Amino acid sequence: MKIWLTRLFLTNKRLFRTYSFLVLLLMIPLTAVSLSFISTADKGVVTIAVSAKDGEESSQKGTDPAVGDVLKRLKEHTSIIRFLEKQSAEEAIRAAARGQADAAWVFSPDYNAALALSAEGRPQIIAEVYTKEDTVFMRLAREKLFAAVYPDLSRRIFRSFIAGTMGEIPDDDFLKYYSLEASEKSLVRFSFTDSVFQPEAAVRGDYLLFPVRGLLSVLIFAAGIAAAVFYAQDEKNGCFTWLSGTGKHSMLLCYTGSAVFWTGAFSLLALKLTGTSVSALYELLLMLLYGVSVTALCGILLKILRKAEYLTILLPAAILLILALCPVFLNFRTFRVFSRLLPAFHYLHAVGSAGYARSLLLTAVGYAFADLAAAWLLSKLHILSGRKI
Amino acid sequence: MRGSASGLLTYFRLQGKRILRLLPAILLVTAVLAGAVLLVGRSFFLSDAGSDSRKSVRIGIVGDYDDPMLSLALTALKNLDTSRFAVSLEPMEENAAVSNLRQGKLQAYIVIPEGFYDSVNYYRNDVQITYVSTDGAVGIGTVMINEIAQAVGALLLESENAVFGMQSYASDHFSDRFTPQEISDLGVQMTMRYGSAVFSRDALFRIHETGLADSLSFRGYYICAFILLFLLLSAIPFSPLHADRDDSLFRLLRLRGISPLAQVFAEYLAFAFTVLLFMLPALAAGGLLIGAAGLSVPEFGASAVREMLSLFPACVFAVLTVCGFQFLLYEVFSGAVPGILIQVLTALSAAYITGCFYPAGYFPERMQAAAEFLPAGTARILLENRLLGISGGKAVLRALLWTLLCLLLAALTRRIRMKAASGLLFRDERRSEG
Repeated sequence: MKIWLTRLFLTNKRLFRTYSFLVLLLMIPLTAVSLSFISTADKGVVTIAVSAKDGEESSQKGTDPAVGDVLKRLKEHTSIIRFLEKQSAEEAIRAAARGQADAAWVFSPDYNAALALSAEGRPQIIAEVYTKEDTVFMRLAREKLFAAVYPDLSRRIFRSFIAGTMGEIPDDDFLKYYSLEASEKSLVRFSFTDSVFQPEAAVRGDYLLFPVRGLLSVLIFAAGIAAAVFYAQDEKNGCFTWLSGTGKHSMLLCYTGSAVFWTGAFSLLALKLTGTSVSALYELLLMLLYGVSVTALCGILLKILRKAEYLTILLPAAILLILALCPVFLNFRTFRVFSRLLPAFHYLHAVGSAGYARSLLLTAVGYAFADLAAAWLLSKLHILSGRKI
Repeated sequence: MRGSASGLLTYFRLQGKRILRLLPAILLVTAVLAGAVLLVGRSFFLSDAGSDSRKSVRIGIVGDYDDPMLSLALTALKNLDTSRFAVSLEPMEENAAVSNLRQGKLQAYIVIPEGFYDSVNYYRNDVQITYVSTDGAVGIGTVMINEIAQAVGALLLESENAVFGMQSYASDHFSDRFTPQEISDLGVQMTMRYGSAVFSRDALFRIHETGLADSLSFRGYYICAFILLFLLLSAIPFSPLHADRDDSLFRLLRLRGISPLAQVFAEYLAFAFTVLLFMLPALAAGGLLIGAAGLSVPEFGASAVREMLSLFPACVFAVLTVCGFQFLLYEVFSGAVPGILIQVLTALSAAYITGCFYPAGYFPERMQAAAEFLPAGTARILLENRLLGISGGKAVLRALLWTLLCLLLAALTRRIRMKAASGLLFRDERRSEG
């Protein structure tokens, strides 16, 4: 035990010998916090330029209150759709043409009249939509537009239906009966499958911060590889000639484990500071399992590749594979068999799924066992071949 | 001066020889890296997200299909509602829905429990629809759908309350005219009116597709992004050369008349030239893959290989500026672990904020402007300008200025480190000169 602690101490001393490693560790939460700060600014996956007025003629009439209400509803809740209010249709269309917006929505100057006719079953155009490409996101954005228009439409349907069956409803009665609530309960509840933490709402967090955890998991893996490279260089320089095979394996574990530990610790801090972490205990547990998996995997890779140069060759490709096969930005369905070999795949899914937490545990145990077995086998082979360990 | 120049050339040749020794490894890594980028690109373009979002999102429906109301509603949604072009509703059992959701084949699924219709009909709302999604962190599409689901929930509730309000009004003021059954029937009629309004909502908007004009297509944009990603990661394999610095060698070179600035230039030129050399086969391989996969890129002509190779002139300046920045990082962060990690951290951060993963338009405007100004962003602009056929002199100038700045800072760092490592050496030099 004392030997282990001594080796750990010496390894960490070596890592922190130059300021570079400490500066790098501090940069992890700093970068994450900067991104968190940036994400508070006005932004959107889809940007829509909305015009409430239509040219000079409307400037004297002013903004139609009904259209103004629609705009307020569109901007009411935090959304991944961003709305830019423009003074005229030409401005909105120009914004879309120049790429400042993905589309322009120009409300009809006869919005109220069009809505009244639509409520009677004769749909009229209430808005012109100008877009470069009518993608799924554009169509889904129009669903939001309809949801924002719907209260106006619903009131008109209500009034029109009653007028057609019972006669015109007085304004007082309209206000009273339209605002009646059938029930306080919502018709829809939201759930996340197999989730450890159930949401209060369907949408959580800021989309710009979603990839932070994935990118940090890549960085932790890179730390393990970099430490393995460091170890390989030291071994080549003869730093460990006095150690047996198992001794060398323990040194490798100290190198990779230390680098992974510190990077993981600062990553946890980054997650906390950006508000993307869940329960502290659960995060610690997941990071521990992930750290063990990565440490063991880096040990296995070094044993297979043997040289530091090959590890540095592998690293960029490995980074890309993690980005492609793990749910960092997108959830690709291809090559799922290979995804499951990556600890990051299980780690990233485990945040929202207890099932994947179990698979992360199995991965950690599996890789740790494989690493130990490989170390034992190599030491035996060296003995059998008569080579100095 | 002549001695310094010949010393510089010698050092440059030495750097070239060092790189040549690593050439097989670098060639291998370039091939592996290019293959990985192409694999990512291929997966991306062929995935739902990368198929230029013309495909619809898939949502499972779980419920009692013997219930006539559910069947009717589902049929209506699938055949009448305009959302069928954006959302694909697929009936299935709950086990299959959970499995498909976990595998990413569905964005979400909706569970309509038994008794839902009666619960709504009698305004109890004690049986709720459950909208089940995965954690929103796995995709923007999921987040978008979740937002729409919230809006739809509010819409349903508003309609229900309106029908309830109408029936209450009828009960309170026209109980002599309508029987309870007739009031109930009015409720059904009103619900159908609302349903009709919802189904015909697309008729409320007139769509004008204006075309791409002077902006890149989705695929054109990501071709530039993946080239930039390749560039940003290409410095990592050079870490055996640059991460571990030999300060004693630098001091020796200084004594031989090769200044820190000259040393830096020689090393940088060898580094940048090697990266540039491997851009050609990487671009050609990209073109071959695009052609083989049959991916149509609006900005490309008949030959994808030729079009990719035509990006090479822009790659020259992109390589110069990105490699300059990477070289500076190697100079500032010494040691194998920090040297590699800083390259990974900056590569990932730069790739993220310059739009290699999420499109740049997803970020706040100020962030976009700042990112375009940085070396990686400048490199992306250079590639995009070339693809669009825009001259872009400003971007070229910015690239060259960044390169110069990075190299000057690298030289300054080296000079400071050399002085710190052996301040006595230079003091002795000055004494002997004096």
